Amino acid sequence: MFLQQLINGITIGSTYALVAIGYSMVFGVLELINFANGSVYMLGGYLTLMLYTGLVGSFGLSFGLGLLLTALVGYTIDRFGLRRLREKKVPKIAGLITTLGFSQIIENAVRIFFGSETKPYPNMLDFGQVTFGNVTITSSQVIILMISILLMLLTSVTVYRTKMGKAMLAVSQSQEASQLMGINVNGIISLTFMISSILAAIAGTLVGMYYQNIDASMGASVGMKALASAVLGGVGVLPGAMVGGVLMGIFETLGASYISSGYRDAISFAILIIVILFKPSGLFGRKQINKV
Amino acid sequence: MRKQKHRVVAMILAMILLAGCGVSGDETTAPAGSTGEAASAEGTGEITKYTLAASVPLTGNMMQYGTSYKNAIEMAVADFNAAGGLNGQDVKFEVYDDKGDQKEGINVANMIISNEDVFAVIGSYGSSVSMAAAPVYQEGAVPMLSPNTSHPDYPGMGSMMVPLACKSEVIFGSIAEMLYEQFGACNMAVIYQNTDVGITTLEAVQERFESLGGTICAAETFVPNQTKDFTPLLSKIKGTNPDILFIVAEYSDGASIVLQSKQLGMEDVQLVGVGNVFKQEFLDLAGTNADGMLLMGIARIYTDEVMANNDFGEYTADIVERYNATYAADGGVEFDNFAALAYDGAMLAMHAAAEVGTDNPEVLAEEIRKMDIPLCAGDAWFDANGDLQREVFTFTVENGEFVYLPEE
Amino acid sequence: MALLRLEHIVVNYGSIKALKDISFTVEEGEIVTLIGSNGAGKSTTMRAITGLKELAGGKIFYQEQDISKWSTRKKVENGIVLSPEGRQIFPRFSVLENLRMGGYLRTKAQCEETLEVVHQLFPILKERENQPAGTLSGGEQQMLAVGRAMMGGPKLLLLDEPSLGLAPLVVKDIFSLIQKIRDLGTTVLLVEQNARSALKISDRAYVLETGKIVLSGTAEELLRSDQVQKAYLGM
Repeated sequence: MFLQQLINGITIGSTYALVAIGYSMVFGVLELINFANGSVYMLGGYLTLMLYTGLVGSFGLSFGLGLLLTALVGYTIDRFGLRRLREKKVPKIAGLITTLGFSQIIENAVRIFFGSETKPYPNMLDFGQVTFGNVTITSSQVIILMISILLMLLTSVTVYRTKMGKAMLAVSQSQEASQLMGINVNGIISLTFMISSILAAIAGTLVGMYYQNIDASMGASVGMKALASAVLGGVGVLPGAMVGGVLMGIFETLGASYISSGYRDAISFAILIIVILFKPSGLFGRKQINKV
Repeated sequence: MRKQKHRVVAMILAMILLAGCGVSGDETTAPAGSTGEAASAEGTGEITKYTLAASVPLTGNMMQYGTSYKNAIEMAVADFNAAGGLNGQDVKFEVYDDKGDQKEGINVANMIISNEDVFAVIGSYGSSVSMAAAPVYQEGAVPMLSPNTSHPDYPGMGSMMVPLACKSEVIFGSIAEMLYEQFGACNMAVIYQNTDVGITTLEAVQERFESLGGTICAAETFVPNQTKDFTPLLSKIKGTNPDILFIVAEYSDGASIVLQSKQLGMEDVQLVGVGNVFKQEFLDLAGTNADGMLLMGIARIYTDEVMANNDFGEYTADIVERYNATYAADGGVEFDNFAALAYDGAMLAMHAAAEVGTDNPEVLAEEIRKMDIPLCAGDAWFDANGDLQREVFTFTVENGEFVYLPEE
Repeated sequence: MALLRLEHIVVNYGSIKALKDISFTVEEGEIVTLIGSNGAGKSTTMRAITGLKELAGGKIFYQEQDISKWSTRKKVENGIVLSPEGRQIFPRFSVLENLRMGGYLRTKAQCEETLEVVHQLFPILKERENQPAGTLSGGEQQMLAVGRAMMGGPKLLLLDEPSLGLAPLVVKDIFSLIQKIRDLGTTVLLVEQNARSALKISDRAYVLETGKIVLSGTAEELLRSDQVQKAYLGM
């Protein structure tokens, strides 16, 4: 059972990682936790499903459109919610509450427009499964893991090797200095939001397919877990978010198997607390070099 | 600086005001009056109140159930008024959103009992909220009909309480017996949600099944709607070699459990589901994975196929048809057992009011308990112990469709 | 035509009038200094010129074009680059990455060319190329800030308090480097509290007090002025 649950944990953990990356990136550039990221994850899954069953016949097209729309939502949160607050230089907490507000709006809008009942989700990744002794690995698991790894690589390459990515890193260190370099700081921030939204939307769709259903409340709990993953790995550090996500998935699944299912969430968060007690900046977090 | 502080204070005040306005009924309610006075010992047959209230979750996780309740009660009130109403006057229906939350349920209850025109209340969805609000209705002397509260402590909370669902030990004891008769003294694993309903169900089933000679080989709990991943629990359960897997869950969790049990290779285990899986939405999610599953309970299934192949009586069939035509046309949720119970509850309250008047809540509640009218949710009666008894129905799934198994 | 001309600039921070009425010019090839005590408005002026702070009134002209509403990006594109007060280097980037950031808007070829020049002016930056900038000493960070600003290929280089917090020997180096930069063809507008060293290398200077220009003239004139000597040169 251990191996089986390890595999389950890694699979679900890699989807947490995708959402955690979003938290990390936004925190990196804005020093702000985007509480709406969880609901964007849920929205992404919903949009793909509703487009597929309602309008467009092709899943690929629906998926693409869904991602586009979700990126638009991410852009909106920043452009119309947070940017004005930045311009007026209000304390950070206003931004935090704004993202909380957006998460409520998104969640309830989904309930109103799509209904609050759980909906079946087609599993486009179902190509069978292989069994080795006690362990069954499904095609969905393999594909999800591969897609997640691919996305994590893409994100890393984008952030660490492209000019745009360097600009993001610059903005995360000093918005003002970045502006002085001629970087369009607001543009970079919007881009960050869009990237994190797309990652979340992909994760939401993958998870919908994995469990073959979707409901409006799935954003809230995954949002919390992904945030915890980002903190576990060290907020603002991309590889940390990825590792944190996978670890969270593993802790949760193993905890549920061996300790208690009722406490599965509590176990993950307990581990998070223990790690933070000993290393407050997270597993990969850096000690703050004071900005000069 | 001062300007800023003033603005902040103003904002906070505005937010408090808005929060206060958040809980509201569909129509404006009368301002607070005194709670119902203890009336005279006998009913005078006088009808002085005309409002039937409902406390249901119209927003939040449970909103689909609340909507079913609301629609059903609305239809019942319309039907009742069309047939003459209360002494020629229309019954008014006021629905309140309790958000599926205990605190909100209590808020709503306070608002309802302070409305002097309310003669009865239907609500809420689920034992937790209903039992939180019950003391308020008892104190306010408003008869409370609760469609799906099966917690054993509920009826004892007062003379105003009229459960429309049986206590867990009553239903599930019967179900455990029926399973014993069919499968003998075998291994039964129970996977149940960590709520009042889930826990009392487990206790009732375990007690009866074990006393008959069966074995509960595993009992695993989960928090409903918190996770979609039941593989850790199911792996554990699989290891205990169960013959029967008894599932106590809402339909979405139930579907996930059914699906994942198949994925883990538990094809030979007899699945049994109770309660809230009696919905088309369950089949939508579980599909043919649920084939062969037994669904047992006091809830009936009203899908088109079942209605076409079985005769539940004219009264019921007519209600199902008209409800679906009105409320399920644009993708709304079809008639199900929640709607049936809510419809019955409303009719019981209104007919009783017509019979004995609204000025004596005790007498009114008594009259309701006589259950003297046709019921679309199936037969129900209060036995000598004062416990509600209902018919138990058994359904199964064939080719992804519900099939009714009448008692032989 | 003056390279830079400020006409009656007004800048407010909320209800505080930081700049009440500032007008001055900078000719091409000059080193012009703004001196004044803390809070006089020197940094605010620099921030207004680069677009970090919006104008509440007045206009700024660059090569006779009205740039009052230009974005910082546009200004950098056109050759106005600021090395800010407090240096504001990117602490987690290496020295080299910091420098490359300076050349964000330019082509690779242009960057390589300027990098050569910067390395010649500040050899220590080549030495410590791969070190995280946050670990450099104060003086090294200042050089990095100036070098990074130069990577933007400025026609007009704005330097805000380049000597702040530096050891006297380092201060000497910085100021001689500023002269070298000017000799290479870049006009320099300098803001400094260290009035003496600044005036020594400048062509002209302006004295700011509480948001207004109270004195202007050639550097020699100001060095010799009684007013300036008493107020800013500690005599």
